[in-house]
Amino acid sequence: MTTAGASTAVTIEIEHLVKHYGEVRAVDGVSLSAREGEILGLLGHNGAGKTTMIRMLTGRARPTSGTARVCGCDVVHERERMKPLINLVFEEQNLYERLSGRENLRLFAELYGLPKSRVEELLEAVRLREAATRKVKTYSSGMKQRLLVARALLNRPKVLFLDEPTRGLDPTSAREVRDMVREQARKGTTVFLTTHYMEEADELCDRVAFLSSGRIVALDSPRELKLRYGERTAMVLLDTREEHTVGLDDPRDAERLQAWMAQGRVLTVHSREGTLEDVFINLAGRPL
Amino acid sequence: MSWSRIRAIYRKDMRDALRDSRVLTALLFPLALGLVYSFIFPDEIGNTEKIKVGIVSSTPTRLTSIIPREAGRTVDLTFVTMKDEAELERDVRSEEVDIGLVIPPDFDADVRAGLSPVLITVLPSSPTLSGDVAVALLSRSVEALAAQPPPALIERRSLPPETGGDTAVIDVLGARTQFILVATLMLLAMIAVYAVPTVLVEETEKKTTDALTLIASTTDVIAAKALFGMGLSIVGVPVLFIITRADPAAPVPLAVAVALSALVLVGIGLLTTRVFRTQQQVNTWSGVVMLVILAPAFTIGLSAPAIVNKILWLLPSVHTFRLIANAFAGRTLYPGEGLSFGVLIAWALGAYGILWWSLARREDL
Repeated sequence: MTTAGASTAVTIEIEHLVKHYGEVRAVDGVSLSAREGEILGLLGHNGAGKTTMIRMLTGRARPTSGTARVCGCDVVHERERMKPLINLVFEEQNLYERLSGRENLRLFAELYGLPKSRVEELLEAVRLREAATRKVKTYSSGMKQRLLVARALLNRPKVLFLDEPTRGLDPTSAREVRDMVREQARKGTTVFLTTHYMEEADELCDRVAFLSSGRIVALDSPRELKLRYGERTAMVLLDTREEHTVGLDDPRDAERLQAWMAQGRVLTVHSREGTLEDVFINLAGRPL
Repeated sequence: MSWSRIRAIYRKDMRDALRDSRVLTALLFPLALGLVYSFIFPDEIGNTEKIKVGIVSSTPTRLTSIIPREAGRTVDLTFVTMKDEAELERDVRSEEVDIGLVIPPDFDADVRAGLSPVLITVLPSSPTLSGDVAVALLSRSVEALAAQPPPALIERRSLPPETGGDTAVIDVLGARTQFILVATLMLLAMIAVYAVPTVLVEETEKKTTDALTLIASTTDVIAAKALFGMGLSIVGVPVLFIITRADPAAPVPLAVAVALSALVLVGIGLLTTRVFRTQQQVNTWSGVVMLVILAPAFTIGLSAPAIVNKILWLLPSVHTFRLIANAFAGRTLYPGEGLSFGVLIAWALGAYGILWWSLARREDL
């Protein structure tokens, strides 16, 4: 969890945001805010409204009602002013596969009116300089993801949205992406992250919002959420090599544990803190 | 709209398209077809009589340059110098040459002096059309050589080809040029209703448009695609003309007609992407759209019912064909050029107007 970069300047302000697609309420009255340098995670099932939220906050979908301001700009009426201040790492690896890595970045550098030197800087930063002239279709998934991150960092965004940035990546590539995210937050960028990986949210996010059926059901730091909604348990190994999970807040389990200890049957006891996944199951009724 | 962003996306589209086999096929197919047509169909217009003339002359004569001038473009004359009359007679008999001429010494000077020198023509035993044509040409050529007024002036009045008829295109331009025009129309259609939608739909399917519209507007993206289609057309059509050795009589009106037609057809192609949203749909249905666009090219020379002609008249491609045929001929084969331009402009306004309207009313920004 990172908190060092967070300051008090609010960069994302959402009030009663609603988005309907016909009868479907994709986002149903969401209100939240995020500060400069904060990593805010948005967790939820498929179809919970995470991507719709990002589409609205990046000015690509019109809210049905409610307001959202990003970097002080209204996402509908001041979209053009907001665009150079934000960027997004998409869920899909939406790169131009027949172009090289360098050509991909140069296109977007040109669109943002940036010099070519910025492209070289980022190719170096994401360790793609050697492969810069190769067509993207020859890249591995990890390389493509690093290129996506580089593209999203071209314009030095004040708010960076990441939609499932480590999905399908091997552990090494996923760690590299997480390190880049942390580095951006440290520099003062607000990071708005959606993910399916609870460990990732736990490790990266300053605060986490759980989205279920278009509504935020909980919003706090991972530690607070785990303390408030998580179950404290212990893993007990008996002399018969049987393993038992006991709830520390359950009086009957406490009695069972006491009895095993009195009989001298307990070999080891490992306490286990509640996880975000437990919190999510408690709140949403089913796992991610 | 931002011109610099449109230009950046356009340049990317061009670079990307040249590495895309689907787009290359859409370009190369009509070019190859035009090339094949240019070899299959004869170059000449109407019937050209080829005549080989054997000559025996001990002194230089201007007849060999005057006769072709008098013959005009309908006769293709070749002169072969013979050693003597015996060789000449042998070649006429063996039909190596169509006619022989025995020109006496100082023939040109004697004619100008009014001395009536004897010019002998040697013809095969059976009369031939080539021989008769050559003899007829001789008397006019000798008159010209004598630089004397003819006994009577014979004025030639050739009837112009019928205007407005499809047969006029073949009569005036020849089959080769006509099929090059068909290939031109096909090239414009392939670019507009296949290449441009393919590029745009791929962007939508792979969600690269989402990345572009993070900074550019959707209008920038669409405008870049229109420019991409125009660019391919404006480069592709001259390439087609160069490789097929096409020689338009009026290049400027031709360029205007091609550019306007490309604008219209690209607009129609962009509109189809509002309906065909996947590559599979483009592959399946662009052929149907292309068939409609190419219909005028397929109906040339056929006496279609009046109602069919009226329906076809509404198509922009009919007017494209008419305008480029007129530009190739350098004169009016199809009257009503102003109306044709008007129809094309109306199509352009309609296509881009609907496109703008559909973009403005979409749910997503």
